[in-house]
Amino acid sequence: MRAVKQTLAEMVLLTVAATCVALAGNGLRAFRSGPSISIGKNYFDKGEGRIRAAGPDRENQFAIASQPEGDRNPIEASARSDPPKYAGAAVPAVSDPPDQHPEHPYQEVSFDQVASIVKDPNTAMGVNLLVDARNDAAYNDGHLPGAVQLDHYELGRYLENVLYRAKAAEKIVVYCNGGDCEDSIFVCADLIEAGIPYDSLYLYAGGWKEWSARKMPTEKPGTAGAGD
Amino acid sequence: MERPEDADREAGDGGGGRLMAGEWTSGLRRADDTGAPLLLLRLALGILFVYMGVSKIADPIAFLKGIRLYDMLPETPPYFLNGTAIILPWLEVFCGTALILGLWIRGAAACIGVMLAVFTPAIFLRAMHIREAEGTPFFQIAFDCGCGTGEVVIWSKLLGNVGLLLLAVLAIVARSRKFTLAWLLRERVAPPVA
Repeated sequence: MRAVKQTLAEMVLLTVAATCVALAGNGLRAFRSGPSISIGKNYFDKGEGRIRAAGPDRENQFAIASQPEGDRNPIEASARSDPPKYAGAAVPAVSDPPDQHPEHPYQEVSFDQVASIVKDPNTAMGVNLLVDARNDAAYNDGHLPGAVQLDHYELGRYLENVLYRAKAAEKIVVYCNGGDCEDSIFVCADLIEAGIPYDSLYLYAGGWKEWSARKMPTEKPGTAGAGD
Repeated sequence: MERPEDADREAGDGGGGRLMAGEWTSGLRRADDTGAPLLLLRLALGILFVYMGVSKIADPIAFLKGIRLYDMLPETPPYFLNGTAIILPWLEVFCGTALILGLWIRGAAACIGVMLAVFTPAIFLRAMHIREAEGTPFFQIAFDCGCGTGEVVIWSKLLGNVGLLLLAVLAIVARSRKFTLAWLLRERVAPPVA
């Protein structure tokens, strides 16, 4: 019995000591702008609440966004002809089936639309903005041409720069890894919170996985003018 | 007088059927008294958990995203997920270090045992969800369990965790306190005056 009590006491001591050091370490990292976790922040908010709160118009947008993916694409729905296909892009069966992508309340763009946005000369002038929602390692390893980075988990570092461009852009396309990665959704929520209008935000669900699988052009930091 | 172990040796003990319980435990006790088995257990568990804890501390966001995938903690209020992501890696480091130093051995081994007893069913349940959702056969399921080791084949991970849990239990049961920091200080740094 005494051994049990002692063991329990040791467990409590270890947990308390670990908790103190953990919180102190996390706080120190935050202070020095290193990777840290803000303990009261919900990192997984998709922003539905904010969209609904924006009013009845937005309710409709949300209703549209809740429909099956085929109906969710307002750009394609209004265009009479097919968007121009990017020369050289074969259409292999590498895209994930629609039901593998997580649910979200935002508008989407297809691979072809993203390809034409990348090719569009207006994009380099700031009319369209591509936002990469992945972390440093992934972004530095290669991103869509002209895309700026906005890491949802280190907003402080990136938001101001991206907002400056996002406010000037008509269309903002956010992507992350693709598949079941939700970081692009959280970034959309961050942008809405920062005042970017819902209508200018689009998600590219296929993401980096689809873009690189189709051997599309990419760039790395320091090798192109458009990206930062 | 015939010793019990002689009877066993004569009987040809290959199948192990003639071992007497009392002799077996006293044999284990003798082994434990050398201090070597517990030292090995402590070092194995300790180094492993320090390593896993440090790799989580190095990338706290990845660990946070990893725990969320288990769907075991509520997303709001955020304190559960965030608190676990901040504290658990350090608990692993503290317990691992305590074991290596031979400090609070039972408490550290018990904490590690509790962690394993919680993680292992969680990993199993997640594997079962994947099996239902994607139809992958159980023995082919692999994912990043968030343990600090990257993507792993799940059945071997589960087996490994059960083994570690067993090691933790053995570390709790063992009684030797040789080769601990306290023992070192007593025996080598300040040996009792003869």
